[in-house]
Order: sequence, then C-alpha cells, then structure tokens
Amino acid sequence: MIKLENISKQYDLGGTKVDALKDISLEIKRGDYAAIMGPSGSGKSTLMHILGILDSSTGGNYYLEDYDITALPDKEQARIRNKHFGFIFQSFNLFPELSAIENVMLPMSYAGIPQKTRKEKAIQLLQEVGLEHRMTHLPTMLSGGEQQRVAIARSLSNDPDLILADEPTGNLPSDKGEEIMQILESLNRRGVTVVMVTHNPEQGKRAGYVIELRDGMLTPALEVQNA
Amino acid sequence: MLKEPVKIILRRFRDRTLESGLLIIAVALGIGAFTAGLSLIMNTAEFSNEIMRSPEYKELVISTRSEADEMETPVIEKLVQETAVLTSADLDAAELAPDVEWAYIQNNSRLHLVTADSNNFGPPEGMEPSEGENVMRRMQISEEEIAAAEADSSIIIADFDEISGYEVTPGFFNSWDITAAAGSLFSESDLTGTDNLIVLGDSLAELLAGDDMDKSELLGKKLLSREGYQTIIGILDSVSDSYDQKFFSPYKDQTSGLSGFRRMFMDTQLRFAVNDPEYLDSTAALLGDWFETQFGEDQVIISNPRAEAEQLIARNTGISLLILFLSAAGFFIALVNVSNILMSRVLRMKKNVGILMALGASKKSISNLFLTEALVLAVSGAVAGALLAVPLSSYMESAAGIEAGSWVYISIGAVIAAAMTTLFGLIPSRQFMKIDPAQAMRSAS
Repeated sequence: MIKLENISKQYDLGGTKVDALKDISLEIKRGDYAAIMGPSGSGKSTLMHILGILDSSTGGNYYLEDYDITALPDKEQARIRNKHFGFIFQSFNLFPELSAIENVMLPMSYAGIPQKTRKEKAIQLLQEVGLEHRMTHLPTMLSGGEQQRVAIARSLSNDPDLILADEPTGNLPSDKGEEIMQILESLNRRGVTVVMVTHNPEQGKRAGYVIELRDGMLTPALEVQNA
Repeated sequence: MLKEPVKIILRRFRDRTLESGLLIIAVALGIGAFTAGLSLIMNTAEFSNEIMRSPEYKELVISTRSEADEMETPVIEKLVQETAVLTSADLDAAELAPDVEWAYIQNNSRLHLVTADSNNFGPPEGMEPSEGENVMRRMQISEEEIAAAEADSSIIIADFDEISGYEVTPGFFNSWDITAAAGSLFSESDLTGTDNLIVLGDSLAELLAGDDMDKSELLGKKLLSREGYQTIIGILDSVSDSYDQKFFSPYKDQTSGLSGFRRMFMDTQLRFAVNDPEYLDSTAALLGDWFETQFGEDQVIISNPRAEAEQLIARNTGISLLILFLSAAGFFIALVNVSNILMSRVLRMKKNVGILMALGASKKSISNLFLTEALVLAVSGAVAGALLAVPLSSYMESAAGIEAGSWVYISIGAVIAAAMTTLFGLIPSRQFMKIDPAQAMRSAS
C-alpha cells in the first residue's frame, strides 16, 4: 500500500543541517500492523509525519498504491489525509470548543458529508468505542482514556485505509492504555492497516512487525515476528 | 447548520469575551469615525454643489448703502455718501452687460390681513403715529365693512393676521424658473397699474383656501388686508419651502400712497442673474462702471453672494478633509492593532491549525476559516460603527450647516471600512500558506 524509497529529511537549524531521516526505504502492506520503535530523537515522529503526508521529505519518493505522491499539490494532500488516513495522537488533540460528537464529525465536514449523515456516523462510532453516554460532553469533561477513545472514533470517521497512531497510550495509565490497544487490534483484525509509534516494548511485541530506527536510519533487519 | 471548523472559530471568539469585545470596540470606533468622516465630506460636496446650482448664486445684488449695511454678503464696493435711489428703471443696465440673463427686483413685503375678529387693529399703545406719519396708518375697517365682506363670496377673509412675501418684477419668476400652477403671473404692465394684484405660493394658497375650498377657487377673489383688497390672479407651482409660504405682488416704483411711502424706508435692491457664474466678475465690473456714471463714484454697492458662499464652502471642505484624514489615520492605527491582536490569536491557534490539516483541511480551507473570523469581526464592527456614525455625522453635518445629509454615504463608508478590516484580519493567516501541518503542530505543542 505504501512504499518509501530512499526517503531522507533534513532540518535546517540556524545554518546547521540536521539529518532527521537518512535513506529510509520500506513497504507497508494493506492489513499490516506495524510498530515504529526507537530511542528519543531517532526520527520516529518524523517518519510518522512523512507517512501521513503531514511533512515533506527532502529526498526520495513516496508511493501510495503505486502512485508517486511525493510532490502533490496541497489540496490533493489534504484530500488523501482526510479520506485515507486516520490520525491518533499522544495528547489526543481534540478541539476543546467542540463536544465529543462534534469532534468526531469534524473530518467528515472536510469530506463534504451532509450534516445528518455526519451525525449518524459519529453516533455509531462513539457507540463502538463505548461513549454513547458522553456524546455531548466537551473534552475537558472527559477522562484521558475517554478522550483518546473519542480521538479513535474521529480517526475512523472517513473509513480510513491506514491508522497512524503516535504513542497513543503515552499519556494514559496502563489499564486505559490496554483498552486503546485492544481497540486498535480489533480494528486491525477488521482489515484496517495500523502503524503505531511506541516506546513500549510490550506493545512492540504485539505488532505484526517493528520498524526500528536509530539516528534516523533503519536498523539493518526488519524484525518479522509473525511471518 | 454550521460546519464544525466554523464552530471552533466562532466559539473561540465567543469564549474570549474580553479580547473579542475589545477587538469589536476598536474596529467599531475606527469604522464609526472613518464612516462619519467620509459621509461628512461627501455630503459637504453634494450640498455645496446643490446650493451652488440655486439661482441665488448666479446673481449680483446692487443696493445703496443703508441696505448694504444690513446685508451679510461681502461688499465689493462701498459708497461714501448716499445720494442714489435705485428704481426699476435701473434694471435697464442689464442691456449693457451681455451675460446678464435676467434682471429683477425682489423686496421683502408683508400684508396685514383682516380677520373676522380683529376689528380693533391699530398701532400698539404709546406708539400712536405723529402727524407726519399719518400716511403709515393702515386702512381702518369698520365692523360693518367686515360683516359685509364676510357676506360677499368674492372676498376672502383669512383667519390669520399676517402673511409675508415679496414685491417682485416679472424677471424674478423667469430667473427662478417659477411657473403658475393656476391663473397667471403678473406682467410688466401690472407694475404701473393701480390694482393690487397678488400671486400666492403653493402652501399659502392651500392655507387660505382652507378645508372646504379648492385652492384654484381662490383665483379672481379678493383678499381683505389692511393695505386694501388684494386680487388673487395666480397660484404658483411648488418651488421650495421658503417660497411656497409667500405671496408675490408687483413691484411699484415711487407711486402714490403706501408703497411709495415705504420705498423711502426700504431701499430697492436690483438683482442681475447671469447665465453662467463664470461671468459674475466681468458682469460686476460692467455694471459697476455703468452705475458709477449714473450716480457717481461709490454710490452703489455691488455684492456677489456666490463669492461668500464659495468661501464658506472652501472652509467647510477644508475642515471636512482634515476630519476625514484624521479619522482615516485613526482607523488605520486601529486596523494595525487589530491585525496584531489577531496575529497573537492565530499563533495560539497554530497547533490547532496543524491538527485541522492532519484531519483534512487544505490551506485554502484554513484561510477561509480565518476569513470567517475576520468577517465576523468586520461585520459586527461595521454595524456598531455605522450606528455610531449616524449621530456623529448628523451632528457634524448640522454643525457645518448641511441639512438632510444622505445616509447612503454612511452605508458606503461602512462597507469600505468592513472590507479593509477583513483584509487586515486576513494578514495573520497568511503565515499558514507556507508551512507543513507537522511544523504547525510542533510549534506550540
């Protein structure tokens, strides 16, 4: 589904060039469950952002379903993010001005889905993550676990092909983190591709395979656990 | 139903009450001042053009000194010792000046009407006329006469005491382009006749006709006044408030009786209307020469009402321009500050913008979102500003002597100002045009 070829990313920090990613080539297939791991500063988040076309690479090519999307115009990139990717962040990133249901409806409004359909779909998704009784609450009235479940519902609102989760359990106590992991795994069983950045080796083991980064480079071998 | 991104912006606007309130007040004050300033200058210009089109400002007024002392118009020439007496014959001077279109006399006049219950009219107590002033005594009318007049359907008895008007020569009607709605105007021959003829302004005619008579029925009837019976020969088309309430009678030179006597007290002013105001100065010079040969040096005064009006207009326009400049400067300063506050708002929004982009917002839709915010600010500021500008500009306009200034300019000004506010409000959001969502999300997290 996704193929990266010799992707590199350089940051220009006041004249000094810093290589965040060097010569990354990898492939993610439909239905995969991948974990990106590595120490702090190894380039995990940068790789995640490039995979999600939130950031542009300074070298290499990005193929999505065999289409080179390295240099698509902004409008097309936005459309791909909206329709094909679902993002889950460590700090949830819900909009405090919007209720839980409105947060879930938001990506659908960019897809041009009518209000009534948006609402029905959001109710259904919130029921799936067990929050049907909290729909009209503002994020500040929800616990961390509940907020992340709203964020998951939001990421699913346009039926994405790929879920990109950036340390989704990083801000949660372990029991709540476990709930999130189970939701992600059940999504993967339903055929959704999941790519997750994590620090937690336990979570890494539960993934289909681990993409290990060190100093912006892939460690030589891709560990394939469940071949 | 609003879309969710718009809800975010509107609720942020609502939740930051103090900041949003200050923004709206700043914009409203700026728009109010600018709009009032714009309205003032436009209305000043329009009003100036309008009054300059009035026949009054295509005229030269020729008078003797005693008249000129009471006039407000600037005096071009001033006489030393008054010996001149102007008469309608002097209107012939017009023939010497090729650009004079009409020449006429227009003197203030007054009629004291006899009402059914005012049979003891006379001078106030202690002011009985002395022997020499007997001629001033107005016609005394007995109760029997009033009773007889009341019975006569051809005589009009008014229910008010006094009407004011003008003694004019026929050129007056030509110069002001006034026509008769009914009956006729008087002609040159009426100036020397012995009959008392009057023509009524439109509203005066309606007042005299009352409820139970059509005003055209007044024609041919006689109005009973202390000065004698006045035969109504015409009713004018409506011209302007100041003339509609007046009567007009033929100007008569030193004739016998009352009008002759009054001539001694009230000098005659001659008015020469030119076809184009451009020729006022050259015509003044020509007429000045002629009157000098007639009466001697400095005997008559030629004044030019247009010159004074132009001075006044120039002053008003100057003041209006200054006010517009100051208010525009104030508005600009307000806009720069508003733009700054919005900039800090946008910076606080930066991470959220990154998230919106991750969820599918294109840069264009982000810029539309901030356009919404700027529009909310601009429209609410423009509405409040226009509400401020209405009393402000009407006060400034009445101070500048402008009546009934048009509100069109307030609306136009508010729209222009709102557009400028929107433009300035959009400046801060331009910074998202160049960055990637990841950069936006990193910046504030």
